[in-house]
Amino acid sequence: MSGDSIQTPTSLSADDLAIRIRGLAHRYPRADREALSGVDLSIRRGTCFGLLGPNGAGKSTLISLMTGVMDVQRGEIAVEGRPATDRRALRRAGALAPQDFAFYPALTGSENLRFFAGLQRIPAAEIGGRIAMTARAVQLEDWLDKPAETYSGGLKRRLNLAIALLGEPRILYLDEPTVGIDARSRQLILEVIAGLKARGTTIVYTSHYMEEVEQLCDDVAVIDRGRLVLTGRVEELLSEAAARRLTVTLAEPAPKSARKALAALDAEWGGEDRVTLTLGGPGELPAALSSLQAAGLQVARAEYGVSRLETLYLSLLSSGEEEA
Amino acid sequence: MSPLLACVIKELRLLTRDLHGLAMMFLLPLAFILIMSLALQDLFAARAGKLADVLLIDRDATPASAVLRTNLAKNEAFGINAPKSLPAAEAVAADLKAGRHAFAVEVAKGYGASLEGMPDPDAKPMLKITVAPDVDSRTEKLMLAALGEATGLQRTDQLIQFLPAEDPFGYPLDRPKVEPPKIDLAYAYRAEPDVAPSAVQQSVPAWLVFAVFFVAIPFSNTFIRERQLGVHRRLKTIDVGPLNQFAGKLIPYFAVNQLQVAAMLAAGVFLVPLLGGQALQMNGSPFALVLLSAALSLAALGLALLIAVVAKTTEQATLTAGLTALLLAAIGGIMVPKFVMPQGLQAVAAFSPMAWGLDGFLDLLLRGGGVGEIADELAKLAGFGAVTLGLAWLVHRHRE
Repeated sequence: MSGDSIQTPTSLSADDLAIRIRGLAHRYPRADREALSGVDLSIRRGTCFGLLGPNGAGKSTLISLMTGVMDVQRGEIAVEGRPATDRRALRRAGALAPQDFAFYPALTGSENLRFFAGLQRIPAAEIGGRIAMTARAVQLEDWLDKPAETYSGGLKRRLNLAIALLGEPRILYLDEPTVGIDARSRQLILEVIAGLKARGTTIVYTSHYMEEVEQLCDDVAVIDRGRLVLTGRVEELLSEAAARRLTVTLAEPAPKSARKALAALDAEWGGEDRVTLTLGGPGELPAALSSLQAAGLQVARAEYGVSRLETLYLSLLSSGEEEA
Repeated sequence: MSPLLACVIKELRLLTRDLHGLAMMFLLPLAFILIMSLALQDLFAARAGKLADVLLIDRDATPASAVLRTNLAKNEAFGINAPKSLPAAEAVAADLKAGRHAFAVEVAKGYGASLEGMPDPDAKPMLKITVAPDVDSRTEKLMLAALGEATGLQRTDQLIQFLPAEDPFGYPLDRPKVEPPKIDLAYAYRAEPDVAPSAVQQSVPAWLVFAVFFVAIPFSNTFIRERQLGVHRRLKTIDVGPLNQFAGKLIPYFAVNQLQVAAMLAAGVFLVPLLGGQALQMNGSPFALVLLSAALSLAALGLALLIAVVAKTTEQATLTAGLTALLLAAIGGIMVPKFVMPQGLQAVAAFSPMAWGLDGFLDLLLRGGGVGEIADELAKLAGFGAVTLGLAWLVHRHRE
C-alpha cells in the first residue's frame, strides 16, 4: 500500500471534526527538504487518532503545528473549526504531553502540578481539587510530595500525563506517552487514555508500539519523510490487509524448486518452512492454496483473515524505501 | 492563580532547591569582599595619606627638636611616632625588621644647639635615618625630602633670627614668618574626586556590583534548562505569553539582587570589622541607595535575559555570562580600582555598567551623596537595562 491508497474521510461534517488539516507543508530553516509536505488529515471528535511513522518522519513537527508551538507556513489547520492563527483558541482546546519529561525535576509532583495549574488560570480555590483528581487518575497520590527527580521512569510519564490533564482538555496530544517505562505504568497510562476517550476527549497519539495503537486508536495515519502514506480507520485497514495475506506454515522445509515456483505469487519467506503470499482479495484464496499444492508443498497450518498493524506498517515503510 | 504569580512562586522554589546557585550568588562575592577588604587594607591606607610610619627617636629633647617633630608631622605622607622612652639600637633594628615602622629617624643630642650658631659645613650629622628592609627607594627618597623640608624650614626660621630687630632709625622691624610654600594642587584627570576610599569602602560596593551581575549565570541557565527539559515547548502550548514567563523569572531574581545588596552591605558593616578590617561607613541617602540598587539590578537582569535568549546550550550561557561578567568587572574597576589604572583604561571603564554601579555606590557610601549626585549613574544603568531587555525581547520574537 502506498500514497496512492490514501483515504480521506469526506463524508464528515465540520462539527464531527476536532482537527482538519489541508495541504500542510513545513520546511525548517536551512533544511534541504520539507519536514512536511501536502498533508491532509481529518481527526474526528471523541476518537483516538494514531499518528505513526519512523523517527524523523515529521510526527513531532505535525504535533507542534497542531498545538501552536510553531506557525503554519503553508496549508491550513483548523482546530474545532478555529484556524491555527487563533493561538488562544488552539491552546485552550488542547493540551500536549510531550515525549520529554516536560516538568521541573527539582520540584515535587505537587509543586509541578500547582505551577502548571496556575499557568492555566485555574482558580486558586479549585487547584487543590484538580491536582487531587488528576493525581488520582494516574495513581500518583502517594508520590506528590516527593521531588520529581526521584521518580521512576513510569512515575515521570504519569506526572507528564497528569500535567496535560490538569486543564481538562478537549483534545489531548500524546507524544509517545509510554516510551521506556515498566509494564504496570504502561498499562495504567493506556487505561487512563481509554477512559478519556470514553468520556469524549479527542486523542492524538503517537507511538512506536503498534499494539498500543491497535488497541486504543480508531483512526490512524502513517507519515514517512514528511508525506502521508496512509490514513484510515484501523479496523478497516486491518481487515483489508488481512484479506490480502495468506501465511502458511509447511509440514517440511520447502525445496528450491518449490520456492522458484511460488516466486510469481509475490511470496515472502520467513525461513524454509514459512511463507506469506500476497493476494488480490478473498477470491484468490483457493488459487493460492492450489499453487502451494502444485509446488509439492504440504500445508501444516494456514492463517488467513488475520493482520497486525505492525505488519501493515512495516510493509508500508519497506515499499516506501523501495520507491525511494 | 495568575500565570505570573505561578511563575514567580515556581522560580522561587527552584532557587531554594539550587544550593550551588545560591552559594555562587552569595558566598562567592562575600568571600571576595572579605579577602579583598583585608588584603588591600594597607594599599588603601597608604593612598589615604600615610605612605609609611616613622619612628622618631629624640635624644636631644630640646624645643628645637620638638619643632622638627612638629614640622615632620605636618607631612601627611608619614605617620610620626615618638616614644617617650628612647629605645636601644637593637630594639630599633628589631622594630624596623618586624615592619612596624619604615624608618627610624634619630635626632642626636646637640641638634638644638647646632641650630643656634651660623651653619658649620664641617659639623657632624645631627640626624640619622635607618631604613627598614622592605622600603622601596622611592619612599626612601620621599622620606629624605620630607626631612630636608622640615629641617630647612627650621633652619630658615633660625636664620631669620639673625636679622636686626630694628631699622637704622630705631624703629622695630617685623621679622618675616617662615611658612611652607602654598601650592595649588590640581588634577588633569581624576577618577575618584575628593575622598579616597578605604579597602572596605572600595571592596564592598565593587564585589556587590559584581555579585549582582553574576546572577546572569544561574538566570540564563534556567532558560536553557527549560528548553532542554521540554518545558519550554509545553509552555508554548499553554495560553501563557512570554511576558509572564520573562517577568516570572525577572521578579524573583530582582528580589535576589536586592538581598545580595543588603547582605554584602551588612557584611561590610558587621563582618569585616570582626575579622580585623575597617567597618563600612554607610553614608548617603537610603532612598538613593534603594534606587541605585534597583537600577543596578535592572541593568544586570537585562544583560542576563539577553544572554539567556541568545545562548543555545548551558555551556554557552555559562561561558558567555561568566566571561561578560569578568570582562565588565576587569574594565569597570571591580578587580582593580580605577585609580590605579592608566588613564586610557580609566576612559574605557566609563563604558562598563559595573563602573556606573560602582561609581554610584562610591558617591553614596563614600561621599554621602543623594539622588542628585547619582542621577547620571541611575540614568545610565536604567537605560542599559531598558536597551538590553528590549534587545532580548526582539531576539526572542525572532527566534520564536
